Amino acid sequence: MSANATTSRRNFLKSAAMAAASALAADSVFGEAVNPVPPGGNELPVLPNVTWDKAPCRFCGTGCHVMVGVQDGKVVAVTGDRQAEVNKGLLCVKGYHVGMVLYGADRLKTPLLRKNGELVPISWDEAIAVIAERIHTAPQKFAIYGSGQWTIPEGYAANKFIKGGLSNNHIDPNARLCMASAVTGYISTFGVDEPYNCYDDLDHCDTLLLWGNNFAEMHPVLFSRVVDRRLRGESIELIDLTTRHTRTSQQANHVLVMQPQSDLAIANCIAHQLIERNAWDREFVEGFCNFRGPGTPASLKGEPITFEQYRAEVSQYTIERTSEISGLSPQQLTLLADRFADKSRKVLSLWCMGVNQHTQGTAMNNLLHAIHLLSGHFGRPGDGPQSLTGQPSACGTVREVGTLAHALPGGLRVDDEKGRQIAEENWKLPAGRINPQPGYHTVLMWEKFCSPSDTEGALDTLWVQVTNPGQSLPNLHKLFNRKADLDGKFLIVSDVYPTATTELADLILPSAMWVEKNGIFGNSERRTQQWYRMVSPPGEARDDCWQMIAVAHKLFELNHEGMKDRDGNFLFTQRDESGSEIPLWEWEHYYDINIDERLYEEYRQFTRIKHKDLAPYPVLAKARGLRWPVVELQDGTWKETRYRFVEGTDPYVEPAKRFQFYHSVTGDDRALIWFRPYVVPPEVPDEEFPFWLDTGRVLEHWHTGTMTMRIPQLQKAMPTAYVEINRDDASELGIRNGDAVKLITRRGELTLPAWIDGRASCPPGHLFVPFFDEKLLVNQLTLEAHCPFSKEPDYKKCAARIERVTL
Amino acid sequence: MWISSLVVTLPSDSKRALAITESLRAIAVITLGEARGVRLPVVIEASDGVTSRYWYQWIESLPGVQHVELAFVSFDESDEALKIDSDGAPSPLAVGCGMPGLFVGEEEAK
Ligand code: SF4
Repeated sequence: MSANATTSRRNFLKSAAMAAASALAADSVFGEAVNPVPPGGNELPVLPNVTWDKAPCRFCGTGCHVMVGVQDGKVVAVTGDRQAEVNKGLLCVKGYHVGMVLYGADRLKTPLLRKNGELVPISWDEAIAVIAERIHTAPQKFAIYGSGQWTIPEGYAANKFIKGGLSNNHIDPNARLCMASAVTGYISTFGVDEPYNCYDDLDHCDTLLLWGNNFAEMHPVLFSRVVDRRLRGESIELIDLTTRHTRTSQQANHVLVMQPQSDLAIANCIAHQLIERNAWDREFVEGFCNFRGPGTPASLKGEPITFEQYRAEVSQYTIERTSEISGLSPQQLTLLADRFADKSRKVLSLWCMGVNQHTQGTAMNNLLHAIHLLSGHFGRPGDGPQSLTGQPSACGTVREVGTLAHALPGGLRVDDEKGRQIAEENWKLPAGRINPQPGYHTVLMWEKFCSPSDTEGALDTLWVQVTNPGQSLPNLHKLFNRKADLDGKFLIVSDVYPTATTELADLILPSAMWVEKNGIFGNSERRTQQWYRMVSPPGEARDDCWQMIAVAHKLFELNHEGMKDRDGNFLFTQRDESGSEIPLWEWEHYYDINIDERLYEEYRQFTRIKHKDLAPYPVLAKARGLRWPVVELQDGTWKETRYRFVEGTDPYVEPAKRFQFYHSVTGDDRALIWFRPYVVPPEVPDEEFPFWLDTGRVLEHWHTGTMTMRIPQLQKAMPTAYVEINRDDASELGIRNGDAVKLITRRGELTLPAWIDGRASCPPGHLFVPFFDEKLLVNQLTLEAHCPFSKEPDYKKCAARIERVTL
Repeated sequence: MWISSLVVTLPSDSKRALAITESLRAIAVITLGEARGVRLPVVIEASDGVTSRYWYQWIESLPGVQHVELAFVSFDESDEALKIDSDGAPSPLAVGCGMPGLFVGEEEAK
């Protein structure tokens, strides 16, 4: 490029940049009636030969929508979608760069089979045959480990294949590691999973109370909605209840630094205060709630208790005792109780991994619902409890499709006869095909895979799709690395890049990703989002769903009975308009029809069972996502639901009921107010390991960094993991910023740089390490102890020691 | 060359806001736009992403700055970091921030 051209380009870019900032400075993005989208949505830039289409962002559970610009078969531009209610055109730094995720230099492009210790390229035919042969030989020793990043049709196909085809329930997703506690919390409180409310709450709350949730970094676009309100002059109080100062704390009115695990005591203390002050909502509670205690021994179902019993239980959590447990001052605890006691304010509680990745995760979810129900802070926009998810389709593909070891689509369970019958009917299976025994949950699945083959219940073949357990499982030495020393184990990994998991894989399958395939996600607020394939995958990479169907058909060819429906047809038979079967298992024919649409429409019949009705595919294709239940109105249009269980917004609430929890555990349309006690965590700091170790994410990287670390801008912005340490602790140990330090727990050790008072800061005795860096695997150190009900491990607290490394 | 733009939210106290504006004006690689109330558009020109990020964080750390929002990012073909694809991925891949008409590819620059 000549000097003149360079200058003119720079000037052009500068003026474009200034125009962007000026437009943003002038706008209040989330304000009502501000910056309306012109009819027809002509907000897209006009670029020669670039076509645009919509898609949800590939990364987090917020579910922002992007517009993707394609030129000559390549993604060339990405912009926030101004027609999308979730983000109104905004994106975070990951979203800006999402298009680049397709173009990392080391994309996997051909199947690779390990032969004599070396990975060698093989054909797809050979790869499919190898998998089918392994499964055919020992179907009960086979498992699938899936993902909250699977699209809905992918997860549905995998679920049908293993549960309906192989009569085997060993399928579980990585979402077990991030939101399983929210599931058990919702089910045990309301009788049905998923939030009753939606992101609109952010636009209406007076107080936003964050429970162990670094909202500013983890759900940055949602956080912008709050910041935007403040910039418009609205008063919104932000209370950050946290174990360390984060970017979220910087914006908070009150930062309450609590001891790990003490959230249980704090929630009970709030309940106690409400009752003591007679500030609980008697009318709401008497009209719409029952009380429940944990039972002996504690269980997910618990046992009914009276109000007086509940009152006696929570009365143990006085301000004084809770202050001792939590480290919060009496004034801080009083402040929390004041907010719940004040019915004139709308209080929104938000949580994500801090509450869910917790050995008492279900209990903590129960308690958050309890304080909202007890105080009556429930049901108005801006006034309620809401969990957030980390993955783009943890809700859609895992919770709704039921890709968990105990579940079936639509909220049905394998251990429930009626649920099995419905699934067998919908899948046209012979009666009794579905196994009533729940399969292995994630931690157990990997324990069984990392056990010698002759051990009772051992798994020998495990197929991983769209996730990276070699980096994200807790206690990696025990749950993953052991595989390397065992004979007879076969690990299949479908992925887009080499990862810590492919390191130990015996067979690697190159996958298509994001807009290289059709897809449907379901985000944190019950919003189902559809997109179309826009570009081709590189090399021989192919859709995960095709891989599953091709293996199923190979088994069908091997005469595996499970791959036939009750009429003897292939489990995934699809026909064209003339009635001829389409050979979907042949890649050349996979896109002869829109298989996503076919699978989705088949799945949709399950969604009505628990009032989670989804819109028809063509309706979804036109929308920027719709929040279920989506029902058809008399005029033929389709209406989404913002608030479930609330009269006037939820079509399933009967007239004059006000609130109706129609899947109530107690069968009387009431929700449960749970008492769950404070329990000491399984591992606490001691003399040998005197620090708390907490792990998590950072703004720039998504989960294990396999995608974002390949985007140069994000990699450069946050190139390496680090250990965050308190300044006084560092000085006592002679550690300076950037020093190499050794972090040791009972499960392993890791050397990494120290960061003192960096982006965030820890209180004394507390360390934090992000888990995105594949070269510094902090999960070699974490604990696999998990919630007894949700089976979700606690990545947020274990005991550690730190030492300066002397070179 | 990395060119990015931000919106810096200034404090409502006009003296403090002026002090911040003057600090920013003193930096050669920073160009200021016209403030809309407390929201000041700013363009940063930097040699690479790391330097760009340095300035972003420096602005964020100025006492009194309430909030910094990223509005636009673009980067030049010559940046080594962009050699991302052996298959000939588009370069530069221009990314905007969700405001209208801000996409910049090589074609538009000419
Ligand atoms: S907040 Fe999440 S969904 Fe939105 S742009 Fe960022 S990573 Fe994507």
